[in-house]
Amino acid sequence: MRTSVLQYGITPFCSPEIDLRLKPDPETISTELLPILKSVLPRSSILSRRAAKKPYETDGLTAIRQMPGIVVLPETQKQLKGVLSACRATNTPLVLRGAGTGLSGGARPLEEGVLLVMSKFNRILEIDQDNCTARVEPGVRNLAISEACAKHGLYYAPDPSSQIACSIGGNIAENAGGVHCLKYGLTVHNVIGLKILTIDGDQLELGGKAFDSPGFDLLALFCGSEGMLGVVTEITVRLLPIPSVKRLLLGAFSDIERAGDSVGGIISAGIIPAGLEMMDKLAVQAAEEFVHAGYPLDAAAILLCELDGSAEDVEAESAEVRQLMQHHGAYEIRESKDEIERELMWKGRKSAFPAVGRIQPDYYCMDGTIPRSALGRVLGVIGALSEKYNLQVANVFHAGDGNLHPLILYNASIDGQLQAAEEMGGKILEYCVAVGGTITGEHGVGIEKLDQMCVQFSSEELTQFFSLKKAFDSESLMNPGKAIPTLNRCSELGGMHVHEGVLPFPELDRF
Amino acid sequence: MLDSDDSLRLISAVGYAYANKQGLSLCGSGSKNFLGGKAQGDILSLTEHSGIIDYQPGELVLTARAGTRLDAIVALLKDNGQQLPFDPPGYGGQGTFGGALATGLSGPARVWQGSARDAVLGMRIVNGLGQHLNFGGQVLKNVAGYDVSRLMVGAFGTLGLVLSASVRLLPLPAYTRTVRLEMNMRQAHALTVKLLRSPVPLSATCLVENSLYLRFSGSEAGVSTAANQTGGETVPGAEYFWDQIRDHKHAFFTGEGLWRFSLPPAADYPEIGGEWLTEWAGAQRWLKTGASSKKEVQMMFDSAEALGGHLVYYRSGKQLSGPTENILLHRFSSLSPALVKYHQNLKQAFDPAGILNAGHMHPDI
Repeated sequence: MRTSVLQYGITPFCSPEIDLRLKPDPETISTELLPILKSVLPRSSILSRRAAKKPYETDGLTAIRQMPGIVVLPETQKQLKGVLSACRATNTPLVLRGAGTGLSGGARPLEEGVLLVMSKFNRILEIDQDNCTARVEPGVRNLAISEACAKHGLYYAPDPSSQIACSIGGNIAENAGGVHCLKYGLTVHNVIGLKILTIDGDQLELGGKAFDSPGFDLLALFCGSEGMLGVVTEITVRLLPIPSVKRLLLGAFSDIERAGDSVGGIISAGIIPAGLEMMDKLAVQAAEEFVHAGYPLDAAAILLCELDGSAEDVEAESAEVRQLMQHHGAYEIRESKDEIERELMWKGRKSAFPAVGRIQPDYYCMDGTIPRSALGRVLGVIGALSEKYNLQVANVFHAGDGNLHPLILYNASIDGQLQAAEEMGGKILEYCVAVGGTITGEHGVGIEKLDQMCVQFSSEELTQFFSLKKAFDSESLMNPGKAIPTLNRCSELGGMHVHEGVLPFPELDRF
Repeated sequence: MLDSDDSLRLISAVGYAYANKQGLSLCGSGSKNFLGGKAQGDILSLTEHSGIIDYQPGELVLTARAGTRLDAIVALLKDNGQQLPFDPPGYGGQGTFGGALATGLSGPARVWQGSARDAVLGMRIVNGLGQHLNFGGQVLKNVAGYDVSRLMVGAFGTLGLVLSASVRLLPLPAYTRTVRLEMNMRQAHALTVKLLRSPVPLSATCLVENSLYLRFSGSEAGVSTAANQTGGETVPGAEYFWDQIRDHKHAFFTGEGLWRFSLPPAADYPEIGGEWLTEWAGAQRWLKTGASSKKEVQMMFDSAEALGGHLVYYRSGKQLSGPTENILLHRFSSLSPALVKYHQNLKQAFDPAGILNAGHMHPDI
């Protein structure tokens, strides 16, 4: 266990200090890079005018904005290869972008760099119903895969809330989760093949339709690598048979901690629900007002528990879950009667973020993950911080897998509120690490959580990350400055912790 | 169970080897030694670094030291109604937790319950510089930093010495039934392809000598419905059968040379003379064959690749010697030159002096 020994300093993420080793002159783009790009891309695939680039200045973390140096949207492998070799030849850094729904600023552009948008690679190449796989390009939307294979009775399991818009390539970059990953796993568990183009122009084929492959598990390494190691050009995903029966149970609780306890109760009873989600009062009220899912407005918390499988399995498990929820103090339990009702009940949960966004102009979404047994303690700390900072928090949890999404509400036009929200968010994440959890469960580090990375990892671990990155991108051209903080940054922050009695970053001078 | 923390000795042994550029051959119980090439260097045993560090059944997570015996872990979990989802093989009934992760092998339920790397949540390792590093954690979702712990799985100890790991667990199913159907290879192949894409509570398949074994797991009513639909006779005491298959103690696994084809489940059978035992709904197929000439061996590797999979040479019927050994550069399907380059780069990143299990997984790594 690591202990923070010094007060942890917070740098506002609205003015992030990018750890850029290379800082080419923005002029280079127009004088050196642009002529090469024009030789490999059609004019319609290059956006260099300010107005055209404007939509790309931010991803889902809208507090961070940066006008990209240039935006390119290649359509073919050859064009893509041309873009990478142009960047390599001119030492221009590049940032990858899928649908731009990421929540950690991973696709934040660089002023002096290329923003490589993969959205034109949007074809589903093959659905192989015998092997239960789909081969797709990275720009394909997550939901489009399940829609395309539904006629074969198959679906793609990971379903992040943004699945209607987010791309599968982005899902791989972030190792996206969703409300069903408790039973069916994250992106890493459902992708079995990748084709990669490295910045050096090497093509790598990882995995395929078989269940394993020789050599290192590079497939696992690429999932969640935040566009730092290579460009994913093709993906083979595993498809699962659509369960015969799906049923959603909603339990209403007058005490949020007891709702939390019933999560542990269900798991301990040997049941792995397809989804197990929790929302607190503020989140429930916001969602109800937004989509009218029929949620009980008087509940301190609701628990959504989805069971799927054969009719017999679902019947047996829902009886058991019902009993467990009652035992833990649920005062009302509802069951979805049909698919329409089930989807409506989910819709409230899946629209929780935009719904909360209607209460206050801005919210800051956290993504800490904790051991389930620490849920009560962490909720207590969040409540106390909410009072201390005088900011409302709406809590939405993937309760089954301990992944919390506290939404801190603030108003950016009120002086100091953004900074207070950031500071409070940082405290929540540090507490998650202190109870044995992590700073990010599924949204990624991006640019947003660089500072908290200093709390979670030692200097030797960070150094190992850097040498791993170097194995794929020796000049650090791909998404530089994201995901892993430099040792200097950590040291300057004073985010120091004692790791097994060793003073961190002893190799650096301190001032 | 032996509970001893040998980490300080292991860390300093790697640090010493790094300083002196001496190779180390990492070793658990040795049950899977035959799988890799002979590593160069002094043997460093991990068996004294054993014991369960943390296990709270309600969290469905177990953390154990690398030298912990698999049978001890399995027994403890069973007492708590839980299991390792990847059900790792322990050849000869032996095997350690660390060895299972280093080789990345998974048992009969792999297709439905996930692989060894799927279950891994975090690891403490010693890299080739002798640095003690911690990646991942004990929570199911964690995307802070690169997924180094899963990269270690199946790396045969060439990137780091695994000190301890946290893995996800699953509850044991409420009810399990195995049925046996008599059918030929072609019929069985068609049936398992169909079952793979159907919403049935399947948890293992095995075709051996014209008998197809299907294991169903779930609620008693759900399992009964599914088993009755497929027909066949119920196999009493089937748990023993699946253990024998997993640990290669079944009669099939004696005799001639053994090869493992990892293929897309619906792929055709390679046209090679020998006997087949097929698991994972077609995705894992064992071939027992006397074929050993250079031409025959090359043909097997080529056919695995042509079918979209790969091949692992497990063992020869006789002592490991003679023509087969000389033909094989290594035991695994070869990697493309581009992949070899990045494997070497990664090796350089984790073990710059090349001291950890050099040559064990691949001659150049």
